[in-house]
Amino acid sequence: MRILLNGDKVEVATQPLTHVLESLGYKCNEIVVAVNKEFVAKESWPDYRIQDGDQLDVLSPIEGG
Amino acid sequence: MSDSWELYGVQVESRLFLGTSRYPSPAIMEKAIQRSGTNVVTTSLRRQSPASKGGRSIWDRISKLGCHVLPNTAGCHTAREAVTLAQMSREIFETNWIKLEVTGDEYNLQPNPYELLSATEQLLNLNFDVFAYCTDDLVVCQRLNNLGCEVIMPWGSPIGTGKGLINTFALETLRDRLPEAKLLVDAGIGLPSHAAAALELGYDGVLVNTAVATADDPVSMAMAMSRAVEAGRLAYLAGPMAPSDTAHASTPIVGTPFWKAKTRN
Repeated sequence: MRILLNGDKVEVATQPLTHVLESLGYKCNEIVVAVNKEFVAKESWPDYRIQDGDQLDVLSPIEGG
Repeated sequence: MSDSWELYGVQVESRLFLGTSRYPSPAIMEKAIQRSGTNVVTTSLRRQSPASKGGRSIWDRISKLGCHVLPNTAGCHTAREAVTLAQMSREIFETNWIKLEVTGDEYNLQPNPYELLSATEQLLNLNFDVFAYCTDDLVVCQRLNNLGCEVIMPWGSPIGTGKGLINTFALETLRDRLPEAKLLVDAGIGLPSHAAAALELGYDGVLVNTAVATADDPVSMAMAMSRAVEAGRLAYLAGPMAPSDTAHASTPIVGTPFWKAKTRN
């Protein structure tokens, strides 16, 4: 299925969110995730299944003012 | 002089908050933070591509400095975005503190008061400790205070302008009308004298980023800001003299040499 990852279209298999993120190359302890602009807590990733057309925002810490 | 204060039950010593952005290098950022003596530094979140190593390295550097981390919601334009980003920040930074920024105007980066109030209410209900970045509008700040927002951070002038306190009347009014709130000037500080002026008004602290990070020597500027904040706070506690429209000689008049009373002929 096709999703939007940080604004870019990508193809992923239908899997739990944890596996999707790992398959994309992310280290799960370094990121936080929102799906369709809603926060998805890390503890729920193993059971969270993304849907075709979902919008994933995968964020990590940066400097800030 | 110990002049510690509390932010949502957390005791801190320094009244200078420092941003971590725009420094020439991470090493200079670290040194500026250390030499400033600050206890609170701000951070943020941004999209992470799988290929890059991401923010882990910068977060590792910041977390080793022993400061309290205040994540921001910079870049959010709606309450919904800000609430989501705050929740994401809480998970990765492991803090209930959130510097709430909701932009309403791209040109001034002026906060949107309607979305800010909505987000504040939602976040307080989610047990966040909200540090609200706002303008110096009295009614907005009163509403924030009434919602239970303990730390209110009006701008001195727009972010990154370095213009200092462009409306001291409004800032003084906020201090007078909200005596119980923790008030910090969050944006627009360009010089140490601006920071000192905020503390002299009775503000509890200032948050500075660009003025330090973009100085020719950020470490020295961080130290200058720290000393200015201490001086301003000490001056406020000392009770400044009242201004006067007429001159008053500071040297005693009695015994002035060569003085002669005027006499009539």
